[in-house]
Amino acid sequence: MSLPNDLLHQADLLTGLDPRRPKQANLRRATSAAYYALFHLLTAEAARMYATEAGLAARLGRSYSHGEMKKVSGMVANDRLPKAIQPGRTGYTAPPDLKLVATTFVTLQQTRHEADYDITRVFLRREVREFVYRTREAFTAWDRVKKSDDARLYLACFLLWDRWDKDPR
Amino acid sequence: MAFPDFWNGVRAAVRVVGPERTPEAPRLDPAAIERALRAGTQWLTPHTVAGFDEADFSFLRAAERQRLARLVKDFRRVASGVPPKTPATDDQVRRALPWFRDIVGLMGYDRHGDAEAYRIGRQIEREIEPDRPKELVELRFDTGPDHTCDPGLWIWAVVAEEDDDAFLAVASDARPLLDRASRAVAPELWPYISFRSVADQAELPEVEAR
Repeated sequence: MSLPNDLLHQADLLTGLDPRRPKQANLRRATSAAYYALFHLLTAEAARMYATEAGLAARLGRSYSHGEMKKVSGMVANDRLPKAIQPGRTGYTAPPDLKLVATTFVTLQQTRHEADYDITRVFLRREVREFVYRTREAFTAWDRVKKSDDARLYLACFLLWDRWDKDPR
Repeated sequence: MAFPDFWNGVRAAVRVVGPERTPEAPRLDPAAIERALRAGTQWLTPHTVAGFDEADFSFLRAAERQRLARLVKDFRRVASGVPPKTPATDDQVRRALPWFRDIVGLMGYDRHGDAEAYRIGRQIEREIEPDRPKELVELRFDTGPDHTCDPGLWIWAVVAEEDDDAFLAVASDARPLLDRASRAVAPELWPYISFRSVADQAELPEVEAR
């Protein structure tokens, strides 16, 4: 299996441990694994747009920033594109599958941050199971939408949003 | 006085909010509010509801807004008879307590982390009402900056369904409903929605090794 799928599988396993009294450590790691599953799925897809050789693709994958990806995902989920590639007067509407991926990414990133750093936050088993379930839904949605121009633009925006969002000359 | 000042002023006067985070806060039933109110009389002054303006509550249904206005009016009538720097009499407490208890109850301090969460949360609940799954038994709200300092709205949805598959099915139905409603009501806030089951929520004090 690939790293993203392995991480998703790991999130599933951790969520199911100690069914009567799940440990916070396991639920937190499950939440984190679910986020990183989606993060690595998207960065691998993005890097693959530029390189087929595995080593080069992996090095490219490391250039993606969590913060930029959150910003772009938030914009796309709200039907926003950078100024330079806005489709004129008609406005932009992201395909539902892409919205699901982008929305899940933003939500999971925040939840991952809470899981890793906020010790006052309590995680409950079914709550985390739902995060993992949602991540799986995002994987499926990505599979349906990934060959579209919208999906490729979304990935390209991870690196080019700021440049494309400057006022056109 | 603006609506947040009223919401915060009543909360400060009654001191019902514990240190728990909004999703873990114990339910605040009328008996619990009454116990808190009987612990002192500092809440029985006109200052507690100073500046209340019914128009600030336009986001509530008319009937609820009018009920709140009536409660505040009745409370004020008794509170204005309490001289400054003099404790309220037993009779004044007996008369004012039911009204103030109901005012506190209407403000939903156990389900809303702040005044903005209350304003937005009440609107979201109205918005989803026609399609709300019956298993969605409680919603809790909080606002604040997320980890990148973008404004966020946290929604905790409590589901009365313990079977995992059925729980996920309810969450799948309710998530887009809540997402759409929160983006319509508060487009400037990113909605962070999570689902908990009634049973998991009930076991909160036993949660192991935080």
